[in-house]
Amino acid sequence: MKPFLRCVGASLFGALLLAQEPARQAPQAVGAPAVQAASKRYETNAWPRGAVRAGVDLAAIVLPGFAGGAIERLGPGPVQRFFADAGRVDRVLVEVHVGDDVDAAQRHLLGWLAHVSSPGLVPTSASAGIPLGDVGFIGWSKPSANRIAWLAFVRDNVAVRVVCLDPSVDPHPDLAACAQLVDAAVGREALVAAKALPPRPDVTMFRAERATCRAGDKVPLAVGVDVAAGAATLRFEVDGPGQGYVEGDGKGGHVLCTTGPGRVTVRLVATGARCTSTTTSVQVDVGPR
Amino acid sequence: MCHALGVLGVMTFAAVTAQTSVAIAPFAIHGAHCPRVADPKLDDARIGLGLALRPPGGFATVTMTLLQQGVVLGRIWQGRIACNAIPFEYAWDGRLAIAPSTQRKWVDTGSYEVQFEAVQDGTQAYSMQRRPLQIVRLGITEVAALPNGANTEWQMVYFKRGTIAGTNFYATPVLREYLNVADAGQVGDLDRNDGLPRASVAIHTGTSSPLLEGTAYEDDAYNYPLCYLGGVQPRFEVRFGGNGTTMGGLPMGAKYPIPGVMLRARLTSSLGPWTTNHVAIAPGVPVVFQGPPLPNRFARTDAVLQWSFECSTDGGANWQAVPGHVRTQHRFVTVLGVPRFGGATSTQYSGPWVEVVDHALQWQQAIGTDPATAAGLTEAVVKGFGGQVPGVPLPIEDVRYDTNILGGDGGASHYYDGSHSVALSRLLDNHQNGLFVNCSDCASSTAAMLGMLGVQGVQMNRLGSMSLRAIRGIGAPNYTLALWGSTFSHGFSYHHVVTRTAGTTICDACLWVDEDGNPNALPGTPGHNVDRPWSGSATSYQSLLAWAPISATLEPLPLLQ
Repeated sequence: MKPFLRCVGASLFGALLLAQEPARQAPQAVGAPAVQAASKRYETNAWPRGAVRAGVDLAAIVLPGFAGGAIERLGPGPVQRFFADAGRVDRVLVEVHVGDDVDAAQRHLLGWLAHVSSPGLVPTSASAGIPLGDVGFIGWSKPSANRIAWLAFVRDNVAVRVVCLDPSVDPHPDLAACAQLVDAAVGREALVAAKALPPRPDVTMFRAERATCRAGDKVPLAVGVDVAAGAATLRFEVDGPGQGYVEGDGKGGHVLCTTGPGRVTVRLVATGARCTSTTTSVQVDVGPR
Repeated sequence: MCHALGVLGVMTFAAVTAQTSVAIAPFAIHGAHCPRVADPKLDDARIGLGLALRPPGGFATVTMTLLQQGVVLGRIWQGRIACNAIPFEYAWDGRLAIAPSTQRKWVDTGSYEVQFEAVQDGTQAYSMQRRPLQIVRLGITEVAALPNGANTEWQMVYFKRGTIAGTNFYATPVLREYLNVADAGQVGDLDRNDGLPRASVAIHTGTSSPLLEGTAYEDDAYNYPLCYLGGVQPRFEVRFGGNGTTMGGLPMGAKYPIPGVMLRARLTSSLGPWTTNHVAIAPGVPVVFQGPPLPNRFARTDAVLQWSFECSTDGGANWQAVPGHVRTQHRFVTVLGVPRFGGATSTQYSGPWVEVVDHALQWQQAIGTDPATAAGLTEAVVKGFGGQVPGVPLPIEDVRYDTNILGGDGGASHYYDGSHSVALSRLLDNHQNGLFVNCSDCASSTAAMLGMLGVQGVQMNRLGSMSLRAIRGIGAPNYTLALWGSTFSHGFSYHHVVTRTAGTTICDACLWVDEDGNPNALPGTPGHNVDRPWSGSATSYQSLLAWAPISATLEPLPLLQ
């Protein structure tokens, strides 16, 4: 039997289970011209193109001297993990975007490059003697002192940006070593079969105990996630016009606490250890109290 | 403690003697009275028990006793008073000692009678009257702010969950922004377990996180800020609690409605009087009050509301005050227009963020801009975001422009990303994504802030590459003609700004242009970019920022994270 974070009998739950889908991809309409322009400037046609891998196990990354925080994903942005120094001050941020294919990852890297304000091209990391991924770039803070603000690269279908949160602070983290650790971790991931997508967390169940309720009611949610491929971080987003929030029930489960009438869409974003996400939704019609 | 409000021994002995000598009527209590309804746990609830003794002259011993179903529960007061046409009144605090050796405690809710007895000195003449008294429990358990017309009221949003890492959006509940009821393990909604009245919930003044109990959201006692369109008369849907706690720690009902007695609520406030058209109140049944107009400007107004009660025994022809009152405090945020957001407007974050309001108010007050106009609010946000102006010494969250001459790099974005979203929650959380910001970070953040504060027509504007004149970046100590040091030429590959006029004027919190008449030389004179005309003069944004005309593409408000 597969292990589940939580599994409640499906027969109890009548609310609509919507189609499981990959996490929302970033809308490309706004800013797309900037990315296209960056593609020309950086001559992406000449970039090496790798294969599709399973992602990168960001939770397993250990940066010497730093304590890694939780895996987080805010909205459509990349998966993030902060690393704090001995004083518990965050010093390094690692951002990861696992694309469905190589193009998607390269577009994400271009998105970072397209929003660098300084004129000219961002130098490659290779030009600084730091080989990274299929292609990598370096944001220098102070080259003469070897202070790096960030390194961004793409290896296969994984785009990574490693950011020093304040390059002016001493001691300066060895960002090159950090980035190369992540790069190596990407390279260790299994290749995905041709034309297949990277594996995502399998949300085996996401149901609301009731499809309708009154405002103020608490509606248990049944959540089951196959963790065979690694633990997933769950994030719940509530869309209106109804209103509510999702809370732990104190027993390892989750409950939708409704706070305003109207249809509520509860979106579960399950982000797996390898930085891929699955989004699943349920709807509950919340009537007046 | 006894409180004698009336006349005690004000007559001289001579006068008493004189009046006694002319007494013609039999000794009797006249006009014994007490409120028909009382709640001794209300603030300043002094239950006036009064009577007059006639004929005038001499003294009598008066005893006031509380009875329930004819059984004496205890003595309220006893004393010797002058027989006088002027009524005597004792202000009872609603506490009673069941036995002389026991502590005086508040009387439980229920139906009682107050028995007034008087024994005249000398003659030992006796008189007695009884008056009904209903002890109830009155208190506010819920207040929901209602709109007063379409697009006049919104829920506010917190972006944190205590100290838990990451972003957790929480919109204040539509059901009620004020709640004050029993928590798990507590007996009654209106009282603590020791029987003392539960205090009103203080306004939650935190700006990033709602109240938590443990790691869960607080769900029994909160008082969140309310957001209305400026100038609107707020409407409150109020619920009154249905149960309290005896002084012995047992549950007790509020004990109303009362047959034959109507009970209604009245509301005054530091804002002015509130109106209501309800006929009578009952526990748990909502009634609506409408307040005076709120300030017609961007403002945060804390108001004290005083709730009082009245009863009528004649079908509403006459009303008698229930002694005492209860106060609650509420925080009203008024905005100038409908809050706007990028993307879907139905998501959890779609309401004015409490922390953004807090920032904007501080900036507006420090800088002294006009809070009644969108222009004034825009000026406050743009100048305040950038800081380094009188009253606002630092940029928001102490960020600085991402250039290597300030310790950053080449102007990379750290909060805005290619999906046209901005991690404003990260920026407000002690610049969690890093100290450095670029133009996209500033423009997306200020656009989102202005939009959620109700400034209309806000868009982002993506500008093309340019060679720069003298500028001063956010957080920078000086103007520069070498923004990137020797690494790159003094220019931008692109630049992001904000407009609320479809590009005809520009707001740019990321940098100042140079207004000293020579924008190509140092030093510079601060030229804030608040609704600065895009083109058409020597002081237009294009003219002061760059050497050559700049391309521009309008973009919508960013998505929020």
